[in-house]
Amino acid sequence: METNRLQKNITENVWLWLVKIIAGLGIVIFLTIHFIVNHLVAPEGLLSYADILRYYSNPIVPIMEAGFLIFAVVHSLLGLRSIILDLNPSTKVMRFVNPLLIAVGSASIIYGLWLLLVLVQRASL
Amino acid sequence: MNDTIWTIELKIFRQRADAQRYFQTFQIEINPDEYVLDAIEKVWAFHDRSLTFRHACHHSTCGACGMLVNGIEKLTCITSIRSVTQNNGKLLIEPLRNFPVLSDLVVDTSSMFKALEEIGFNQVASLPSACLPYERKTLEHERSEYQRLVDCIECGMCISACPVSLTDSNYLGPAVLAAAHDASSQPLSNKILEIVDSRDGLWRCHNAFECSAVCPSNVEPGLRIMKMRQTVIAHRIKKLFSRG
Ligand code: SF4
Ligand code: FES
Repeated sequence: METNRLQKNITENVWLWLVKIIAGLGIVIFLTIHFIVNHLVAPEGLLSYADILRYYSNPIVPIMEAGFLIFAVVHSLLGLRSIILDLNPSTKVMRFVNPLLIAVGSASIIYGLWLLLVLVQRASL
Repeated sequence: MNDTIWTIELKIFRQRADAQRYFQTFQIEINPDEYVLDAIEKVWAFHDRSLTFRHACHHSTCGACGMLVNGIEKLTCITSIRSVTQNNGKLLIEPLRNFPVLSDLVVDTSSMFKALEEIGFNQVASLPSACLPYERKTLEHERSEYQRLVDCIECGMCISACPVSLTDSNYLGPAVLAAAHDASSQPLSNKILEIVDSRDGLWRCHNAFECSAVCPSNVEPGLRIMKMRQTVIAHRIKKLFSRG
């Protein structure tokens, strides 16, 4: 029973799968908005740094881009984890892979959010 | 059937117990409207009596004759020669993948049968649960006392085609998960839940839908896995809230 619980923790389960699907759906929605805004709404597209800063001065944009960032990182790392599981890793390997993926994901999200805040700050100047 | 005769070359996988595997080539003459299983039987009858393969019903009911024909899972008793080769053409015949080879074209599918038994697979089910969600419903479908044979003929071809079964031999596989869906239209039993919502169960599927593509009996295991996921998620969420 203990082994089962341990193995359940290192492999796929219902909640991880649900998060992956929700993140995937989020990517589709945000990417669609992103493309529409970038190519159809923004006049002549976002071609210069100044255009980007103007774009980020709209408060909805950083919120949307932050959501997009989080969904993309979560979905891709959970997908990568599924692929690693297909290689039949041992419990030992997964005990190493799980925290590694959490660390990579957290670092990517923190770095992305920091960049986003820098852009927002510059846009407000 | 017309009386055209084709000459074809069969390249057949051979393996005895743990001996080295190899391919053996046979030339036969056959009517193109005959079936691949007929060609294999001709090889057995006229060329090599030591060739082993499984067959029984010859009309897509027993599920015994599944093999790889030119690399694709086929029920050989209903696969016409004409549909897979041409006159003077070749046919590559191999055993199903993802099962241990017992001898030549015979594989050991006992793991699938054991799992099916564990899940409570029944060859007969009520009309609503035996039919696919998109099938046209008649009045009879509303009455669960009507029963019919389920579609799955336990051929194992879906497991052979599944890329997850290829890498993880413990994965329950499409046939078993589809059977769980069949057996679970009544409220989800703890036993089924424990089997399918496990490390080797529903969540390992990558939605390749190879299972549905090769299934000769329109079981749609891929679709059934998705439906089963919906059922389990709904059950888990309901349980989460009912706890609080
Ligand atoms: S689901 Fe289809 S392919 Fe799989 S064992 Fe049943 S009949 Fe064969
Ligand atoms: S021999 Fe029975 S299904 Fe082909």
